[in-house]
Amino acid sequence: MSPRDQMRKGSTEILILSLLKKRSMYGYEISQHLARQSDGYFEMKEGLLYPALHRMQQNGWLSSDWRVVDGRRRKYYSLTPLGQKVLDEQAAEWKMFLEKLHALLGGNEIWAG
Amino acid sequence: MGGVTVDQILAKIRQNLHLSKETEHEVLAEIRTHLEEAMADARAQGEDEVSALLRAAEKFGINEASVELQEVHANWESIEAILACTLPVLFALILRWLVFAPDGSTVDWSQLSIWPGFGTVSLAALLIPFALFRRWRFALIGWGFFWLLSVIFVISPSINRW
Repeated sequence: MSPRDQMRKGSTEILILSLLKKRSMYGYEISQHLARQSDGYFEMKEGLLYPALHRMQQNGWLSSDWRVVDGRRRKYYSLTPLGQKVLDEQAAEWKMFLEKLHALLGGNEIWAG
Repeated sequence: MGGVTVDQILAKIRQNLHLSKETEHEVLAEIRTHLEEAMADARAQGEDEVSALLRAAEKFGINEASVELQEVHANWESIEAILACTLPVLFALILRWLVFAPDGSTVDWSQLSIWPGFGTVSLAALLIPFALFRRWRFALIGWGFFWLLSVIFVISPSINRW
């Protein structure tokens, strides 16, 4: 597994949570948003999104309901209050992680090349 | 792989899933939606139906996804199955503890019916299997069996000695 794949796998949950913070979405929609908003960086095998979604639902972070929209039956996922709490915690953790990593890698010098 | 259909792709995914019918049905319905949406997008970009489906299946990652889906749901279903077996027994034991006095004699039913604790336990034992388990039939059978035993013991205390 490449470093990018590892980072992507480790960040899938927070990416999904942050997308669903704005509104309810269905699986295909989430996969398209992830790919589009990151210019393809967070693009992954789309099917791998579903194990993550289902695991998060089992954890109580997400709820889901089937809706018929534009003649299509879709399973929409929404953030639960617990999911919101987890998102806040994970966002704070990632922020800290990135700050420390940034400092360890040499501050602004490394980003400047 | 010419002439491939969504159903054939779903059948391939199903081969890797060994879950309850309800779970499999829901998982496959969700994947069907995904593939159909992806196909519609690809067709809107000018692809023909077969290549649109093949592209959707490739981007989906059938093998990787089905293996991970099996893993996620198998663990959860095991927990459900254990709870489905354990909770009815636990509630039956609590019921018996409430119904029988320490000396083995039954508590007066008229007293029990107005005691809130008894009503709460009875209601919880009735509702939890329905609320908690997708495979509620198994929970219901377990619940019915153990409660029947408890009721028989209450009606005929002599059986309890047996």
